Amino acid sequence: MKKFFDQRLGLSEIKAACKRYLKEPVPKHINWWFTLGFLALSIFFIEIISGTLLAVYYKPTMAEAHNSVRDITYALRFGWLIRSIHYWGAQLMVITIILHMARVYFYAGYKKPRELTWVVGICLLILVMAFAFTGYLLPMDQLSYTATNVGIGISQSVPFIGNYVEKLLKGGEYISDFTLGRFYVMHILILPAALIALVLLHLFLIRRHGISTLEDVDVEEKMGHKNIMENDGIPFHPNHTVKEITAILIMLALLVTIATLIPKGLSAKADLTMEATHIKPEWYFLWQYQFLKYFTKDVMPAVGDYGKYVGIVATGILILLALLLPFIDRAKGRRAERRKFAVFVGILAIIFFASLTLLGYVADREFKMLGARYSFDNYGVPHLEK
Amino acid sequence: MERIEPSRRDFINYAMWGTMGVIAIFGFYPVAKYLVPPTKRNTGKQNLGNLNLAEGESKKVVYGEMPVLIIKTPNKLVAYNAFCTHLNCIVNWDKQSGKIKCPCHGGVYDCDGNVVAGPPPKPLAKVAVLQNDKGEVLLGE
Repeated sequence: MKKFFDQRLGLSEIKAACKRYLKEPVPKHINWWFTLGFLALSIFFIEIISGTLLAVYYKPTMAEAHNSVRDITYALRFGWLIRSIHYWGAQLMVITIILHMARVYFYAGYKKPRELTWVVGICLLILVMAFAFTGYLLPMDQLSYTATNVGIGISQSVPFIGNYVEKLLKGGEYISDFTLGRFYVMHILILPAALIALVLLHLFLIRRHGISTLEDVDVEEKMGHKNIMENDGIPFHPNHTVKEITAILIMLALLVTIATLIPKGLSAKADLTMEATHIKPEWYFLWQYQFLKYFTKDVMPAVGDYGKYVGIVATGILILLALLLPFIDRAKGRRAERRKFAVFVGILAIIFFASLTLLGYVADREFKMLGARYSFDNYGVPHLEK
Repeated sequence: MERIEPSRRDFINYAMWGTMGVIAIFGFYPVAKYLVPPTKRNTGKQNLGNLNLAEGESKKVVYGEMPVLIIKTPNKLVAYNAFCTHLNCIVNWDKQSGKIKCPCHGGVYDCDGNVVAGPPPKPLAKVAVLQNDKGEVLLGE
């Protein structure tokens, strides 16, 4: 029997290839930070499984979407757990990918010949954001309706193609059954297919070029990655596989704990006549939500009536800068002491995004600090309450 | 024998790619058309009955799929598409200040729908509204 399948499927060859891959040397410096990519991929599989289970009961129409999510959450056995794992898994996936990206940046893993690996990685981050955006509408509660409207409004503001993108996303003038159908198809078919294709490309590129060493770009090129690894590398298995398996187990424990202790609830069904309160997006879109607020005549008189468009273009430029990073930073050094300016820019970028996220969080809220009550205005500036 | 360019093989390659290109173009057209659903007809006039709005009060209603904000100002009844012209959040009427405010990015409009503050690039879109002799509010055209 074994022989039958081996002859037809080449199982022994596959096994030998896997053994060879596992023994391949990797740079000595790889540590826990290098488990993040595989961790993100593992969470993606959890999302596929939990998403498939949710799709069994979900009904993508304006009339039934909210009710079906309510039934999944409150009527089905373990429905709350599966939905919470899907929700918190998405949150963990975004965190993991952002940390993975930061690791690649600070270890200069994007430099020649790994420029395309970085570009594909940024595209993957954008896809994950698209996943979050399309998934957010599906419960059709008040928050998801408004957040989607704002998101589509942002895409509509993109110069030249904005109106077409808006029509394509909405399938009409307003959010309707057409919109929900499109978002559902994107969320469960188009985006997963695109993500799997890009992940395969990302993995192919990682296999082709190996994990970046800490040598300068020209040194690695001259000596050859393979030679450096043979002289100074450590076997992938068990040195790194143990770390990756441990990281996955910790992540699983964390995910189930959070999903159990903080189950994802469901707010009221979308009602367009309801009094809208200060609606904010999910934490990973908060920086952009706050960023756009400053592109107004009041803050930047120069933008005039075009603040909305300038803000969107500025966001686009930030994304483009991230995408083109390997082609902008052509310096050869990889060690932190050889690229102090790049490290400084990286820290600055973290402060920039973290500050905007924090400002977005506190804006239009009141907080008690050091015995006094402060109310934060729309721009996140605190005012002492009397 | 001298090889003539393009060869028969080149020709077959060009023909194959060309055919695939033509199929893709012809395939794209119906797909693109299919993805744009037919435009819905005008919802027509909608009778909201007697809203009993006192001066300075407002009400939100849904007209077709559009949220509409109706405000009773000192002189007349006005109605606006409640989607903020900045990024489509649904605006609210603030009776105290007599302004229409967006809860998302801080856009402020006066009761005529004109932008007073914040990022909205243009005034709120007006929706036709009138009150008949019986006091019933008729929305739309």
